[in-house]
Amino acid sequence: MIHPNKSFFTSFVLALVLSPLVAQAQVKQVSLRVDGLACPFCAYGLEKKVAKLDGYKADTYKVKINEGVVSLDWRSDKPLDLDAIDRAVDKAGFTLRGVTGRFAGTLEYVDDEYVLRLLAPFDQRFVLQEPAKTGAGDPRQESAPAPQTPANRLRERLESMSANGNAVEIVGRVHPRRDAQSPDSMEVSELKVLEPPAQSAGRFVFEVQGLRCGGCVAKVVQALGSVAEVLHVQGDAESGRVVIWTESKSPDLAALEQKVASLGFDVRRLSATDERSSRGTGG
Amino acid sequence: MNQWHVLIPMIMSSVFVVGCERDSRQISMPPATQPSTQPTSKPSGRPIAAELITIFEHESMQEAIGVAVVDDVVAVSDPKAGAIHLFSLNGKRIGVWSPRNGTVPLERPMHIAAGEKGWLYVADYGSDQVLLLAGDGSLVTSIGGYGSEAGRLDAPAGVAVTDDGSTYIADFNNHRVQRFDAEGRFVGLWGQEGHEPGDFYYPTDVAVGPDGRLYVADAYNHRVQVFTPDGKFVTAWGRQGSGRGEFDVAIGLGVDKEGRVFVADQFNHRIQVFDRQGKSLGSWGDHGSEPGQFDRPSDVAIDPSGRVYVADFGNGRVQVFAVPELIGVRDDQE
Repeated sequence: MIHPNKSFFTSFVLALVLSPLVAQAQVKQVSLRVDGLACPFCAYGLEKKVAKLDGYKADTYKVKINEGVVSLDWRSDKPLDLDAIDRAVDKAGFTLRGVTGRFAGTLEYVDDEYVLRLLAPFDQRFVLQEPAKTGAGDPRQESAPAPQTPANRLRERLESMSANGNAVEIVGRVHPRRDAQSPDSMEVSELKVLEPPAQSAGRFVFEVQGLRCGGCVAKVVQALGSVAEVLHVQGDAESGRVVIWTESKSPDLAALEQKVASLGFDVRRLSATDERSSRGTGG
Repeated sequence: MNQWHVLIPMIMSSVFVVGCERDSRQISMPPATQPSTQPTSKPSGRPIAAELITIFEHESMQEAIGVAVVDDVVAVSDPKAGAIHLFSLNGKRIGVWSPRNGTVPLERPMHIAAGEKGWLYVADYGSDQVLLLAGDGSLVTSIGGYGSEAGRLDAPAGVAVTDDGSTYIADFNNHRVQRFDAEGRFVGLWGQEGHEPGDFYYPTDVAVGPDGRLYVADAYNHRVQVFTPDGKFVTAWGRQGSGRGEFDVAIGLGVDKEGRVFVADQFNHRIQVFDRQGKSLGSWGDHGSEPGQFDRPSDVAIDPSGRVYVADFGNGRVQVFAVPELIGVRDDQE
């Protein structure tokens, strides 16, 4: 297990990746704080622009005119396009002051930074940051609220969590990348560990050869998570294992193995005995 | 056959005389779309003594943005609920049109207008159309569709209907006014984004006077503009402010049979009245939620008897007033 305190030169290849996927949207809800959103013609005019965004989930626009806040749901198969949101708000005649969202994904530790990776058909990551006390960062973003408790010492929390598994749901304020090479960033205001669904009837463990990095895990987890009867998936690059929780006790395991094999990985289902006798936990 | 008949005797159950002392709690939240300067003084001007007759409210009415009187029914548009609420003249809610009950394809109904055939004309932001609805809520036809070309609409905000069934539409995002004939065919358009006479900056409402002139609520230019039926500029009045004849978003308007123009002055939380030349006759209302007060009034309709219906947006209600000093008074500028 890689721990940030032990290794500054931890490479991407060796990144800690314990990657679960709940079979639901990874960008769950987005709130926009908008300047000047005072009248109904403005508010519903903005709706018309937002509704044209590629990731907008139909009929989810809600507005609190007095507070200047718009909330909407985002499609799970589309990356959160901060530039497009900014353009849409600008085109409607307003100024975007902040984008806050609720996100589900997995934690990675890369180059001494914690990153939230959305497990999706696209690669979108956010470097996680403490909530800013002042309006640091992108000038479009308004000042973030100051941390309320010591629990906001984000790094300490992330380090303690990393030993236990890191399927998380995060509420945070997102900031667009500063340049093409860097990822978007996110000020974390709430963070909780996701658990496998209680209603699952079956749990199965696979050993996947070649599962070495976050990108590989994400591909496998995404493929399995797209199967309807799979409720939850966790992948672990270090142990090379993928664990799934299913709706029924006897899912079509051959089809699931084929799904992984089609990505170019050798896969083998582990029996309970295999699981006990081999290394790691894999969730 | 006119299907609007709901014969309920007029009951004036309560009458309040609205004072004209201004509320000092000024709210000014100018959208980024307006040339914004914050009003520095409370609204002022000649007070009009308006008597509050009754208030139309209902628990399902979330927002009241447009109001129209069609024969003996008062229709109120509710964009948040995507519905048109129907009231009798004495304020009893007698029905609702909504996609939920399968009556009409409404998305975001904004300002509305009564037509001569008992039809209701609805500027529907969401579908970029003006919908013509019969008295039973069924769709007669629609005008427009999204776009910036002639005859297309981008967020229609208000509509007015002439005696011959022609329509004028405030085309909000296209910063223009368009005219269609009674069959819904495009006739002409005028205006462009700007601040000069004849330009518009997010127009939100239109109304036709008894002489056929067209009045446009040029909302974020904080003025009323007047045009001939074929779009020739006649005059304009208003600028941003809180004084007499000034507006803080002139968002909705109605014209009575004498040709007086009633303007919903949104962020001054009042109704201003003008003669047809733009001379101020006074105003009433202040900010609040008590009877007779307003929270961002957004539309005005006047019935043939001279009662004034105000869509009180922020309070989610319609307030009905009598204005005795105006009833029977001829416009001295005519």
